[in-house]
Amino acid sequence: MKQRLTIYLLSILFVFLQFMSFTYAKTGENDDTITLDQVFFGTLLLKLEEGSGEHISAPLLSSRYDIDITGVIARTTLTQHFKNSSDLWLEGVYAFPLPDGSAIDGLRMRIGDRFIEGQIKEKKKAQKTYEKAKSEGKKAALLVQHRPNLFTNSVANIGPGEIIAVQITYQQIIEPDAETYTLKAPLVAAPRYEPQPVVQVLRSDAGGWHPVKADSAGVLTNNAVRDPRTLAPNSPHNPVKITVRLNAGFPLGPVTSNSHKVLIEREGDNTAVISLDAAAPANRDFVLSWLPRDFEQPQFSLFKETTDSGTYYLAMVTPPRLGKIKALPPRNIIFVQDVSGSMSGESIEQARSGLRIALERLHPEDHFNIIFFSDEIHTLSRHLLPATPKNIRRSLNAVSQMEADGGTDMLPALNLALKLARQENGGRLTQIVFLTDGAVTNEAEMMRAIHAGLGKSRLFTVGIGSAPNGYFMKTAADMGRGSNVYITDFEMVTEQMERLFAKLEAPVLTDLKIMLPRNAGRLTPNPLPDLYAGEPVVAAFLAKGEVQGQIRVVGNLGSHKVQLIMDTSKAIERAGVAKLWARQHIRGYEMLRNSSLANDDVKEKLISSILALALDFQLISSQTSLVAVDVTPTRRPGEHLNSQKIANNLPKGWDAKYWFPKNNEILRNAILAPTALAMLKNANLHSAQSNRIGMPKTALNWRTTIYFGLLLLLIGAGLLFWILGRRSLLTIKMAG
Amino acid sequence: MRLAWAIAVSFVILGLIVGAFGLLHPAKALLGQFLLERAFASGGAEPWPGADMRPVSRLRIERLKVSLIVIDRASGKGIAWGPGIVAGTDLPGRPGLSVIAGHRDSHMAFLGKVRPGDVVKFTTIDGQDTEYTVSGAMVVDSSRWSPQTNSQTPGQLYMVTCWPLDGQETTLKRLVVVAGII
Repeated sequence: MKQRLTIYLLSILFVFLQFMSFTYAKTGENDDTITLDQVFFGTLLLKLEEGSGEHISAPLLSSRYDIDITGVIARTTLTQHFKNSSDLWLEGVYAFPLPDGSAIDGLRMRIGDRFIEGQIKEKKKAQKTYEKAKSEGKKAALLVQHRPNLFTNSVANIGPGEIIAVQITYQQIIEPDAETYTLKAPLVAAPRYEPQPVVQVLRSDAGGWHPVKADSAGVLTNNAVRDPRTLAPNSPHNPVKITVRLNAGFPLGPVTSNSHKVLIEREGDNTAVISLDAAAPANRDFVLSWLPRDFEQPQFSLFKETTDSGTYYLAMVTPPRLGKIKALPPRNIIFVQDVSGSMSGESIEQARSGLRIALERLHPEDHFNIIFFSDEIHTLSRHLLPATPKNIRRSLNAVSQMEADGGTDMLPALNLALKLARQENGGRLTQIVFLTDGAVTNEAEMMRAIHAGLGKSRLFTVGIGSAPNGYFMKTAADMGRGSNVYITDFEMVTEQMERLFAKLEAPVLTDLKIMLPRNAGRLTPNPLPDLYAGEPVVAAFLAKGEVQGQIRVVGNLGSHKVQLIMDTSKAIERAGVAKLWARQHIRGYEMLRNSSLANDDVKEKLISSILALALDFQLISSQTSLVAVDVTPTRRPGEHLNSQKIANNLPKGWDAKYWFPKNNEILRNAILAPTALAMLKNANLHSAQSNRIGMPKTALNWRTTIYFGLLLLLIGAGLLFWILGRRSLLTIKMAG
Repeated sequence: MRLAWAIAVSFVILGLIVGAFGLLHPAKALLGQFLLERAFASGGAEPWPGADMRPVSRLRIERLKVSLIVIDRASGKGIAWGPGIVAGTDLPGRPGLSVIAGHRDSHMAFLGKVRPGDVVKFTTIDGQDTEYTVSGAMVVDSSRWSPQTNSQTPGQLYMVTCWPLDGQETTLKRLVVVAGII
């Protein structure tokens, strides 16, 4: 009883102490600072104290996206203007996240009358350039990658009132999901640019001051005290301009944006120009989606990019929409499941759910088998089984009982699968699905086996776990005319497997071939995969000289042959094709370099090939980095430049429309929040004393403190009375 | 039982201490004005030995029977004793903008009762009078707003305190009562 009472009282005390510390710990909120982790959109961060990681984001005057979409390539140029609205010399960091799977290949900056350009250099040379510039006190900087796809570049010596313009160019591949192509462009800036009432006018009556009934905007201001950022009530904060030039590579169906009101100008069957309807509020990301129209035949389109080193071509074959595809053909499907010891743990769990999904999707007219392998081989049956409910049940049972144990001997399992596939074709398309963590060491032998034994079947690889052998998985699938998928995240197993197996159910064109004219180069990938519903087949080639003639696409649509023809002269010139070609090759070299196939000699050759490609095409790679170089045109020392002169004297290849935007494209009067400015001034102790007029805290809140004291007193007194009462009760009892 | 007894007593003692801390503020506000009044009368001397602020002006509103000594700085410490002139703004009576800040729950509580048309009279230590008329009021977000000084304009006066007046929480909002020189 005594103990319980004590605990009870202690907990009351505790709660009160909590309450007390809460009321006293509360300080003024501060949302002015920002760290690198909070950057989701191109932002110029102004440095506060060194090493604190805290920054102030510079006022953003405008953002402009110019996006060129060529089939599956999206090439984005983002131009932003910021202003140092303080009267201080500042150091800044431009930080920008890139969408997943995109690669940056251009960076340009204008800081007042200085021009900085990013150039791709060999890593060692880039480091040297950087060190040299640094020792000379110049502003060159290396692009630094902070986390996957968050890059930063330092900007030193930003003068008072100076405008900083930044332009980055990046390229990404857009993979359609269920026939829908989606492009995202981040727009969200720091939340404090949301317009909020800064000044609210009061009226007076007998009861004191009251807010005036707000007008439609909810804000009333008077001339003397207006916040400059809200000067023009109709002008947007952080105006954004977006122009998307879309060439889909197929007749366009609906083009929509769920995020913003857009203007869509259709120019031809395949093309459209999309722009924001008006200056948009930058409070959510821009999302654009497009779909193919309801055509019944596969569509073929050809793009090219002409450079000094030759003409690069991109061929794209798009399937008709799923609704237009006649009955799905029955298939043979052979699963080859790795159950070696390295698969134990989460990997085998992932494989188990993957197989279950695949088995449950089978149609009764399909045939299937499962091969489990470690250093021994088990199969469900010696032949392919019809996918009857009974057989599916049996196989699901086997899948739930499989366990990871023993060594890995992949070749016999692969050979068995290829043999089964050749034996029992039955006029059906045969797909082999290889699920493994890819701890492969005899890649060369495996490749030979696939090459020799594939026949009419197709091989798909599913990489499971954290470190699948990328080269093997990709190359085996390429050689097997299938595709590959990596599952690294357990959460994604269901989604990715559903997508893969839905795709495998709907082949549109099999035995796809693209025949090039005589003097055109080699096509990659080679051989081509089949064309499945929902995603295009994209292949690239380089022609050194003039290519004339026809390109023919042939394939089997069910039981009859299809042929699509296009003249090379019809190819459409688009930027980004050459870089895509180079990226494809670099990726291939990188994978080969990381496989056990490459000895030191080969590795060295691969490295020099990667370097040569990356330098030629100005790409960041394992061998190159982007270093920013001052490219300001030379002028007489001490020469004073006005902006007109600067505009007339841009570095070569720089387009004035980006660097000197028109008045209506840019917010002229954005300023830093007064508190942010005060923080910057504190950090720059050497600068003149702060001339910002700060508002002192003008609340003591002493009443709360007194009420709290009274409450504590009351509780104490109450307790005392209660204890005294109990004591007298006790005395009476004892007396009784 | 002895522990329960001890807890009860500690509650009482804690209550007394907290209460005393709370009372410290209005006590300081009253004592400060008393001492500042004396210093003002004696020609702007230091109000108590070692004080880092000086009285500069008397603020008076007849209708509300307000009479306060204004000090030369609006530091957090200073305005516990009396309303202060915000650094970077001008003294009342001069051209330009004077900003005077004080606590909503002590000296500047009267701002809630001020009405447009009220006359605010300032008297400097050497006896010069300046009168301002209240023209209106506004609530501002102090993190995004700051007064714009301009020494070319005829005298303007902002009297500033935390908003809402009966609030008990730390806030970024300020009530600004605007007055112009007559």
